[in-house]
Amino acid sequence: MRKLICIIFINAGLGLAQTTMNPDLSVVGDLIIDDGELTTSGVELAIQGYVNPFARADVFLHKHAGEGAVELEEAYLSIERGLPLGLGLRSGCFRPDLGKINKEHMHTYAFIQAPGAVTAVLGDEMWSGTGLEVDVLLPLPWYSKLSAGGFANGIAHHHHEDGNEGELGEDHEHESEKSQPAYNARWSHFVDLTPVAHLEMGVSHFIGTADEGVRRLTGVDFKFRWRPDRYRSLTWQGEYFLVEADEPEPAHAVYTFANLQFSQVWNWGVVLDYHSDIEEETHYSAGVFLGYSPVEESSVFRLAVTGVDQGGEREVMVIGQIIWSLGPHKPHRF
Amino acid sequence: MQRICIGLILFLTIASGRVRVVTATTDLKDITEAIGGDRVTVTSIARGNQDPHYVEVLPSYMLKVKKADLYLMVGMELDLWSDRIIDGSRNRKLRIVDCSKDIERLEVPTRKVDASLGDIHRFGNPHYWLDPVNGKVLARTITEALVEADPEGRAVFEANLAEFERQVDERLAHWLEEYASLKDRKIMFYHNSWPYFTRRFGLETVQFLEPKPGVPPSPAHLNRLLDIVQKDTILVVGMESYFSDQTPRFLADRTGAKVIKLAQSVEALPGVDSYLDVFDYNLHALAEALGD
Repeated sequence: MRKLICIIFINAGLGLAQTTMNPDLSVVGDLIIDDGELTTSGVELAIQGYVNPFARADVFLHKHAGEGAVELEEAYLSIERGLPLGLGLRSGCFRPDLGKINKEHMHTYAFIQAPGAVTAVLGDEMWSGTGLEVDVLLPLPWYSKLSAGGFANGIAHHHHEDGNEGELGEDHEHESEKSQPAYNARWSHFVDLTPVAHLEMGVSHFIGTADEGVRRLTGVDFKFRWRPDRYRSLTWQGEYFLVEADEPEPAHAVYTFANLQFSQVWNWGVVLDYHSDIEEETHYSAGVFLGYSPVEESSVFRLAVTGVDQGGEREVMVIGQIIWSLGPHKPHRF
Repeated sequence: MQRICIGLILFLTIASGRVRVVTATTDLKDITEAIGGDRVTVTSIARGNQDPHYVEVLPSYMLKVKKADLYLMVGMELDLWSDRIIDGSRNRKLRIVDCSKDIERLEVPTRKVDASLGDIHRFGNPHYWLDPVNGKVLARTITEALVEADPEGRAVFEANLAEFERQVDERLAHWLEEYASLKDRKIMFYHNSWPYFTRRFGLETVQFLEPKPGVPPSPAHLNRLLDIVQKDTILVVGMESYFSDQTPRFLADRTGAKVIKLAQSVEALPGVDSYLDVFDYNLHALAEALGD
């Protein structure tokens, strides 16, 4: 492990000392104030760049606080302009095209924690598979993308020993279930409603084989975005998953959030989620969040108040987060 | 529905055979249309009243580039978002032209650049189109690109280039004479978009509302600016159209300075419909605000 860390830092140092041909290096870290305790979700190192004129590579490493191991979140090659027929390809270890939130890293959320409905379906760390995914832009008047992939591993479910799913800063999780192999497909559409308002909609499907049998997810998602100027924006996003396994009844998971940016530096919003019959518990939560970004996205202060009903047990959580990023400033992808 | 189909077929028929160009900004679009004439169809990604540093990468932009022959970018790391749009377009035949390639660059950093300097650009200040002489350099770069994409149109493009250069020379001579009184006048700007403009027309920039590029004004910085405005008798605070005028107004209310919105690009403000309009509008607005 020490060797790996040394290699990373040596390469990072060499990268800084060399030329502009080197990949972009970025680091994201945070501080979390949860129930009066100070902790962190760790540090993420991103190494990104072009491999050649047709392909780029993206590597994301995550060092969780208190854990010895550096986790490989994603490491993949993507070919976007090198293939015929408008095809695109991703290969390696990456977050497959399954709904909206699965591809988003936690520090890009408007809120702090992933909704419980999402972690119940996709796992605490979301689904990152090792495999191959192909997509194609369909010849339609609007942007329409069809993607499909095959992976050696499916969705891994992590459980914390204290039973608190998804609690940030915990380091004693273990993998209880791992399905393999797995396949995904998604068909998404993006339309401009006006020059400043846009709607994205998608339908996804996942099928994975586990020891317990076949597990299927079918999801629909949407994202509405309105951004008339640099001081105001509204994002409304939601996803629904139908989970079918060998249990007698299918389970349902749904979340939605709205995030309103009301000045250059302030935003607030609400997030709601619900899931039933997943892991034998019904879960509801409702929360509000506030964000402050004094200088672009390089540092963000967040506060979230969330009420949770987990199988009849209710609690209110207040979490604060200071998140920072170091490295090349790149616009966020929509 | 029938009308839409007929319109679509007509549009496709007319559009076929033309060079399809996507530009990062409206300024590049306007100059490309001036050079390309009827032989091009041009679409801009950024709107004129939008901050060109921050353009969200939308899939619909990728769709526009998917069908394009040529992509013209501002370069100098102003439009980093162009890379993601180009990649997402899946367009293997796309020619990409960095329009900053022949520009004489200003404010190129002479020390290591990092985030402590704000949103600084490693290759110099990228707002080079705000000098009409650079508009001519842009026009020549665009002409080269169009000739490469459509060699049969060379004569048309070169004739249009000559006409564009003639218009710029004529207008520039007029501006330098008409607005000679702007020389050495002091002005404060919101963001550092104007070094090429002020160099050409002889204005003197005294501070910016942003303490560092991309960093919103803080109360402490505003206090310092209040002193500077009063001490240096700054009469005008110029701002890009996409900023809120709340902070400039705060400063103006306490000092008597005038706040004017300037057109940083084509279509940034009503009535600014062409590249030459950008200078007509800005010079007139400045002269009026300064009482000349």
